[in-house]
Amino acid sequence: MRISDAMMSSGFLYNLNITRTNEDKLREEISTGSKINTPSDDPAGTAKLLNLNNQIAQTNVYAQNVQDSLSFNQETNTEMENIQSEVVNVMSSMTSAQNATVNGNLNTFADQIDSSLNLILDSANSQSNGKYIFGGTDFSNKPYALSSDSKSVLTQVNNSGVQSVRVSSNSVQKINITGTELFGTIVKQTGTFDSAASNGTVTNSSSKVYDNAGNAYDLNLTYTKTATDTYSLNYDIKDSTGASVFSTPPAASTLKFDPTNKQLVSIDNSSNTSLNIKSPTNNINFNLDLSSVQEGTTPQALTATANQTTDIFNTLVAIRDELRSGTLPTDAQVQAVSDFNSHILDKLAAAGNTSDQLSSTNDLLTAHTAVLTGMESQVQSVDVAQAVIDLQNQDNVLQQSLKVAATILPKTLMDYITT
Amino acid sequence: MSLGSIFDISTRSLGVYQSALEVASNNIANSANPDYSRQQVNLTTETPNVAGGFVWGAGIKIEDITRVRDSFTDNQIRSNNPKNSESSNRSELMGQIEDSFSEPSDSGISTLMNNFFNSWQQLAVTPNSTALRQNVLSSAESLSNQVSSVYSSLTQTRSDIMTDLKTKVGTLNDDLKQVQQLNAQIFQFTSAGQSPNDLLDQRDKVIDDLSKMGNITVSYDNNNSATISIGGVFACDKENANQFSVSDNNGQATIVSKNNVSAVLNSGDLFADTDIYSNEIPNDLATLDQVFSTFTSQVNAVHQSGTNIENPSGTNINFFDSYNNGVLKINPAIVADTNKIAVSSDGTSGNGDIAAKIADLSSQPLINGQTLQDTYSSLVSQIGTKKQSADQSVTATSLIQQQLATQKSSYSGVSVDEEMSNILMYQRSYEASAKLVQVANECLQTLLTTVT
Repeated sequence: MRISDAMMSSGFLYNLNITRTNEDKLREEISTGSKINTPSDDPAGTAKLLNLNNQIAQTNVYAQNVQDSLSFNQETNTEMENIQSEVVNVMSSMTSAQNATVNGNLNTFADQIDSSLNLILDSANSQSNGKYIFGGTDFSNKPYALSSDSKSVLTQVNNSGVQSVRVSSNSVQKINITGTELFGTIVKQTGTFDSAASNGTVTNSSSKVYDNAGNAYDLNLTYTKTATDTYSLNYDIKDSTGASVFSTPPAASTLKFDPTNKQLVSIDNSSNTSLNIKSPTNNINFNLDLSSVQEGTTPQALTATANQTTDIFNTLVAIRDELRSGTLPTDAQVQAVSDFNSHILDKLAAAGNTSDQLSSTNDLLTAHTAVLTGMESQVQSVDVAQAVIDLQNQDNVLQQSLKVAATILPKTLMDYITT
Repeated sequence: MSLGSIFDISTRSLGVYQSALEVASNNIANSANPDYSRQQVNLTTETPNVAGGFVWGAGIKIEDITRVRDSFTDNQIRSNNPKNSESSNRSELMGQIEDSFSEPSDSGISTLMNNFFNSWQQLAVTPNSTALRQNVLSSAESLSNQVSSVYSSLTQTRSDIMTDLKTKVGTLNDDLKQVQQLNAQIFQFTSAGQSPNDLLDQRDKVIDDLSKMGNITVSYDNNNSATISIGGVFACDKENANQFSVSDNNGQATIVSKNNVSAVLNSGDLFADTDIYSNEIPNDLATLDQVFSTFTSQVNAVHQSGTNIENPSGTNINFFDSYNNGVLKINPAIVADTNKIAVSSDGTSGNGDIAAKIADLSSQPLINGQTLQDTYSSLVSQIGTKKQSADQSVTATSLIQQQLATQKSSYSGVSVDEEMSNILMYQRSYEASAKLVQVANECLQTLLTTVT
């Protein structure tokens, strides 16, 4: 092959350029620590990397959610323990009050119970990170407050909302103990509507409910089918004389059932399946739980059960007031406080359970993050030792070719012709 | 046969070797000119004389001076040129497009969209937190800024391509004019039976340049005039040179001739420009539009079903005002007051169901069975693949180009060694011829002295 001068220099430059490009790439990889600096470095790896980065960030958010939930759960536990210890104090005060030797000054016990009541009320209204712990999901107001005449304690909000937190891509954890769960005051409606009934069909149900002083009232519920899977609910509360406690009848609510599984899905377009009913003038305030009402082909009679026995606040108010007037607590009242004590111990166990679940979820998430980070590193990270050796190699090649070029390129016959 | 013929032969050879030295010096002078083809002096014997029954050699003469050129390699180079220039232009432009997305990084759309969804996930836990509401808003703002930056960067690249195309087509027109003029000059020499080596080199250089721009065909007639067409459209011959311009018809860029005939390009620098201008960038923008239109409408649909924590509470509120051509506009009412962010499904301030639902959108198959982020990362990965394959093509065609250039240089390039040894040879021959003149002179002197 004939070798011309231009060939030597262009061939040299071409090869030099390749070595320089390789070196530059290796330098970039080593200095960024990443094999993928632009999508074209590894298009499939880039898609994988973006996906892994997103998963890691998402898992970190879940972990953050779990941490927040754990601290919320911790505070819930502390407050429930405080309430429980006050309930124990109340129980011992009541026992002492019934003791004949100290029977003389019941007011002391009334004071003790009043102080416990206030402490329980404080705990019931405690907050965590701006959220009322026992306020369900309604943080617009304190969940519990004394009535204007200080004669009774009222629920001010619908405190039955469940706070649930997404702790992984497909699981949701309930983290709160709702005020309703803990302190009761629930009227539960059960039964099945006939799904085949024609529009306009009316179904009635009624129950006894009590005000804070223990007076009985009649709660009358009237359901009218307005369309398929849709019912309109009207209610009224009547005292012993048969007069309504409402000066104007309360507005009707619309109940919607799922067309396939026939469960209640919404009340007035909200997914909360309980309705807060109150009449401040009569100190009546309770939640009507409709979650067990359903539609079906085998209709069952509607029954409403009032479960107001766990209303610790008004029980304590009644005991305090009676002690002040010289009456000892009745056995039923003592039993009610004791029942509440077992109830709160149950709930403490439930909260402990939630805490365990959150902790194990936290461990899972930590393990998951480790796996994801490992995968990310496989896709992205540079084997630095390998890269440095490669770089050294390329550098040697470069040095050698430069040296050879310096020796050979300028030499021609010219150099040897002496004049 | 006379003494005079010795003078004759030696004087002629002096002239011949002087010319040969001139050619060699011209070769050496052009040794670094990549477009130069080395020239060769073809020496031959002068027509002999017949005298006294013998044939007497009459010395040397120059038959012609030819350029050493291999038309096969030229054709190979011209067919590889458009592939090489197309892939290197494509690699550069795809690199710009790739850079517009700034992936993979913390400031890319992928991370920012993920941050957006994660901010809702956090808000779902503490829906009444002002800080978390602000976080949702600022993550939406970051996302909106990045989308608009990517979009405008792509649009800018596209309009730069158009400017570039116009310049390149201007050069193309100049080159065509030049080929036509060179054709005319070459014709004058060839019709007189001469070989205009340097003009031929010049024309080859311009044709090489043209072959980089697009798929051209070149044919030569008997007088060595080149006729060129580009993308099937007549470009130039000895008499005429066509003039081209760039037209943008509904976003499709084409190269059209004076008579409004479109060149059908399938390779070359111009093809990379028109293809990326007409297809690649519009497709990328369309995918972005699809992702963000779906994103906007889905987030809005869920957000509308939520209730905010204003007093009195409001519902049926859009989170995003609109998405249009890269501009993702957040509802100004929400920007002014984050309490308008509506995440409650039952109206209570602690309910974050709607925020959780918005966060869930990130894992839902919203576009052809793919999630928003998957659709986006497929786009980035596709662009990466195109850039990568352009890069590989650059490497491959550059290697071929280098090999062809070596072949060409091996055949047509100047070797200074060779020229120097020629010079030495011509110089010796010149010296010998000069000596011969001296010998003839001395013979004549001797004769004259004798006679006297």
